[in-house]
Amino acid sequence: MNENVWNLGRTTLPGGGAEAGFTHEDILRAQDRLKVLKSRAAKRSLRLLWLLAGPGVLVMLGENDGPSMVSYATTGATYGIGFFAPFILLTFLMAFVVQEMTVRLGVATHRGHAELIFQRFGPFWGYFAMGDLVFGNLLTLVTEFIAIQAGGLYFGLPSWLSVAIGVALVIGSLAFQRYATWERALMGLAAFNLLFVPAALLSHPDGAALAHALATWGPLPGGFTTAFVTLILANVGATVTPWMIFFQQSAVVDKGLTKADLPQGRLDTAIGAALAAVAAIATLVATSTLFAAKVDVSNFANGADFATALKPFIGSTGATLFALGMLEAGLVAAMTISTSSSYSLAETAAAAENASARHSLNLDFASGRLFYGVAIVSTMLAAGVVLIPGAPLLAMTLTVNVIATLLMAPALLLLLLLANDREIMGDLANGPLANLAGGTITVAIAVVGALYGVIAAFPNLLGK
Amino acid sequence: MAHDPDLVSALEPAQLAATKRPYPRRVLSRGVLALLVALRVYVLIAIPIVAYAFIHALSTPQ
Repeated sequence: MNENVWNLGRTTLPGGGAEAGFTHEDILRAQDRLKVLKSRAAKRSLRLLWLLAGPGVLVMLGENDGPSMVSYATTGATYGIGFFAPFILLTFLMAFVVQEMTVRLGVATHRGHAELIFQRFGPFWGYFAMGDLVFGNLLTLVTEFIAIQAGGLYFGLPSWLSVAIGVALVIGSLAFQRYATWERALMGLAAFNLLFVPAALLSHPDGAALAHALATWGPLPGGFTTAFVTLILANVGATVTPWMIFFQQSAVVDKGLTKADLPQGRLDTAIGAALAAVAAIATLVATSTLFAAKVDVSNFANGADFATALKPFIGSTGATLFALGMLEAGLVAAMTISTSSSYSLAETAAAAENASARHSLNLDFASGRLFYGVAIVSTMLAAGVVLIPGAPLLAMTLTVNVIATLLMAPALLLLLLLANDREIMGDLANGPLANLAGGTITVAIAVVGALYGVIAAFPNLLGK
Repeated sequence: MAHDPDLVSALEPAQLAATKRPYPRRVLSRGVLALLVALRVYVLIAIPIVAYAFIHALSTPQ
């Protein structure tokens, strides 16, 4: 980019027409868009995909977070790969269907999810959706720092040090004040989610058994028990959650995607879902060695417990990779989830004042005090909770899954209503097929949530 | 200060942060209103379940 443009990027310009209100945030986004437009004009499709990828990959790998990886590990160690390998694939297909709607909403409206709910459904639902999300995200952030702390303990780091390093990295990532740099840095970090793949390979998996499981959804040892249903719910909660909806739509808008970029936006989401599914199934495969060896994991509380238990089966290298993967899972999720809170709260505040939007990772700190403040305060609060002696960390981890599952149905309903809103979506509104898939997922999640509620109230209903 | 014309045209007008105007509130049909009422009922039921789950988890040995 030439000097003239760089100088331009530091000024809010007066002027008329399309140039009116061309802010620092817009300039940075326009610089990224220029690269996209040039790549499209040169028909460099791989370069174009590389430039436009990001929100989908980050949201999917971000959702492979600390509690999610513990859920997959528990599932593999309790049931092996039989039923759950194809089930995990199915949940990521569900996640793709849901997240694809957020891409369309983003490119059609250029507005974040919280902003759209507030503007189209009014303050009650606006504050409700934002409040739910920020509360759920805060609890989830605590569990991410539990994962970071546990990963650190595996490597002999004291809790305070690993949590402090986690906080420094999360807050440090915001210092880029540049969406594109933040996104690329996180994508680099999120690639470490695939460390679960070599860990799984070191367990010498039976390829034929995996293929058989994927083809037949079996075998399923133990039958339909409370433990089985709980793991089903935990795996659903590990792939489809409210923060993903808010994050990806806002990230699509912040990145500046337009209708012309929709195919790449969809592909980005599909690639993210595929990578995350591979990492999740690899975790299942690695821990299925514990199932085969009949290791009792009922008292395991975090990823480090699994890494330690796996050492005799996959060796020190495998266990180290597994623990590093757990650390990465907590760290990337802490970054994406805290940012989703920032987007949501700042969008709602802006919508409430009917003011121009100030919610972007392209903002400088002075212009984005509320935006960055939310991420910084929620990160420090969550980290602080983890370090409180005797804090109910296990209770929080368990409750986060319940909250995520119960709040997903309302989030999905609002998403479906917006995706069907032809006044704002135009020709990108949901068609019959998208509504059938989205409606089925919403009903399924609502049933799953209700079932979770029944099990929480009557834990012995289905037998242990 | 001069503008780089390429840069200015790289964004669609609707993408400019300072010039975005809020969408008007949606006129809700009876069906959508019924769904939103059902949603409120769902939330009212879900809150005590979440509270119960948290209290129950608190009593679980650490």
